[in-house]
Amino acid sequence: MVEVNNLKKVFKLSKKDMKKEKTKQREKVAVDGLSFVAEPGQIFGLLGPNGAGKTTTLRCISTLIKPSSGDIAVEGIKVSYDPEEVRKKICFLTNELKLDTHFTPSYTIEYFGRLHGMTKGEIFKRKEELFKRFGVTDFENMAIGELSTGMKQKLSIAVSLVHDPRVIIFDEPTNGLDIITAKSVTDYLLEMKDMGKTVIISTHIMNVAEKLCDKVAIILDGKLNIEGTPEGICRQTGEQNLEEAFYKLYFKHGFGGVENV
Amino acid sequence: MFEMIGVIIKKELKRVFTDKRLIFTTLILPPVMLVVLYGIIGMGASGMMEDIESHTSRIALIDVPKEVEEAIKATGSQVKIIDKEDMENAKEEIKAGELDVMIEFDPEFIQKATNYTEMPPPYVNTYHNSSEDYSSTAYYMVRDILMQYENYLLGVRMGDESYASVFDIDENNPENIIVDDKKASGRLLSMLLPMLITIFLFAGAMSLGPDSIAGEKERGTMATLLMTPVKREVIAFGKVISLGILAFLSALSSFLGIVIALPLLAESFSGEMGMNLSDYINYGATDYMMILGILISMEVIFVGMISAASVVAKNVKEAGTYLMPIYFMVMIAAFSNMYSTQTPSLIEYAIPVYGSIVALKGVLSFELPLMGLALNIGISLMVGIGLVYLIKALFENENVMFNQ
Ligand SMILES: Nc1ncnc2c1ncn2[C@@H]1O[C@H](COP(=O)(O)OP(=O)(O)OP(=O)(O)O)[C@@H](O)[C@H]1O
Ligand SMILES: [Mg+2]
Repeated sequence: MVEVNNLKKVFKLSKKDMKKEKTKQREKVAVDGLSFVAEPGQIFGLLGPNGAGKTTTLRCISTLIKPSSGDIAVEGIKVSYDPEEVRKKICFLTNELKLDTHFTPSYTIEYFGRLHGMTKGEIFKRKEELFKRFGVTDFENMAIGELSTGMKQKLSIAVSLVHDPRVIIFDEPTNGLDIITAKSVTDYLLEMKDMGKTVIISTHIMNVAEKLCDKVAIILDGKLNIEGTPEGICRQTGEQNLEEAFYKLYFKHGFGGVENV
Repeated sequence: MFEMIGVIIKKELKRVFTDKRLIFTTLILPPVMLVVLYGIIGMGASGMMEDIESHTSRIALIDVPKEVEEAIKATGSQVKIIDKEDMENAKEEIKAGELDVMIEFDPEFIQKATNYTEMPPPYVNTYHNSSEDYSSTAYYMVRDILMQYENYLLGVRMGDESYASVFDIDENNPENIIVDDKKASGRLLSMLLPMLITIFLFAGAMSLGPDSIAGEKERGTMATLLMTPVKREVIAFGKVISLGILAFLSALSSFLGIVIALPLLAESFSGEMGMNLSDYINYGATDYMMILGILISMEVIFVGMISAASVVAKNVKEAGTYLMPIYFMVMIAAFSNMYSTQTPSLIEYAIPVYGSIVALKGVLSFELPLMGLALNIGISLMVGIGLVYLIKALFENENVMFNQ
């Protein structure tokens, strides 16, 4: 379970950032008073346009960055209180997290297993299991640099799951993948959900959210706009599908949804 | 905690030792380059000396007395008698390096020299080109001959040549140079080695540090590491220690290159500097321990500075630009020390990096006060620990770790 309570994240902008964002303000409020709860056995989706604050929220949950205010509890542990313990319970997957292309998949998973405090025996068992599940076994002794993009992605997932985390956080899970690989990833997320894990994903692809998520939260400009089941949101907005509902909410919110457009 | 540091160090070392390209550039190339470079310099130097020795000096003479002419001819030089009118031409030839020396005697030399009570002393002028090695060598030879001739004339004046010779300098004294061989070779080593070792140590760490930290940030592998439950400081320590080990190995291999290369270089100057391999082994176990202590404590500072710069940098290139000025400072510290001959004051040992070079020099020339050693290692370690804490703070700073 992940509880986010009144999360706020403010970035100080450097001169260069200010130019890039075309703003005179010295600060950027990326997430503004966001609250939600992601339950075990459910896939929770954060939806929002570019720059809405999805990645920032997920990074706060993953302890990579610290909230400016508000708090987050993962399996009952506050991220500000014991980030190391929180990292034992979660895995965070994004395209930005990479593996050293010089090493083999086999060595890489052993290395990360060791850093998670697992014994050699535990790692070996888990490796067999995960590599078989993701079809990495045949390539486990090749250099990662020689693997295809899809294979690398699958390996990243396998490696991040080595410690069998209770909570799985995935930023844009299907981004940049072909539909076959994307399907194997979403299938796995459903499998994880059935195993009773807490899954949080971010996406701006409404079809993915609609099919995959038990609950979604739409974020516009760092603020929670609406939260509920995809059907619930459609009903509330009186639209046929999530995509239409999203447009409606977005335009109702005004053009401030994405700044500087 | 220590177990996790070990896991990270093991991986960092594996990263380098399973990468042929990295092994080559950090461990094999530097010593090979040194041997080749010094070999070429050594060969060039000895070739030059042989060349000068085998060269026949070309000397022009104007109104030179027979005795002097004979003496010059006896050295095997090629002699050309010219007239006073040709002097300007000859000067041009000296400038062009076609002629080595010209000697011009007073036309009334003999009269003036013999009737010295009535006439002013005669003049003797010599011309040479100090920018030409052949010319300089020939000039020294000519001066020797002129001095001998002056002595001879003095003897004639006094009626007996032996009157002109008041004393002999080192005529029958084979021991005229008395040095402590140990100190002599120590002096030479103490001039070169601290500078070279310091630069190797820094260069070694600099060739690996940016890639292992800024490179990991740039490639996105650092974020993966930050997602593991290990504490930030464990990652920082693991990185810094493994960089230290690798930089030390790299410096060691360069040092090995020097040990092989220096005799090659020394051979060409043999005699003058009197160096052979056995001189290196003049140092005792305590000396080596002191050297090791100074080097390791200085290395802590280097690795600390390089790591800190690499953490702050967004990518390897940026780390490189941050490190350039630091590298320069280290070089200046190293070179400023090379020729100083004064006994350093105690406070100099307390200056980070510079003090380490002074101390290394002290050990190698058997002149390091124990207080200086303690001061140097103490201060270096303190600065090093300060840097490690800075790195730890940087690792915990999200603006630094996520500033892509
Ligand atoms: N380190 C940072 N420094 C300054 N501003 C930042 C930083 N990280 C994010 N931001 C800003 O915060 C806002 C939210 O960014 P975030 O990456 O969370 O959006 P997102 O919802 O993930 O968008 P996308 O769909 O494009 O991935 C953006 O305006 C971004 O420019
Ligand atoms: Mg994002």
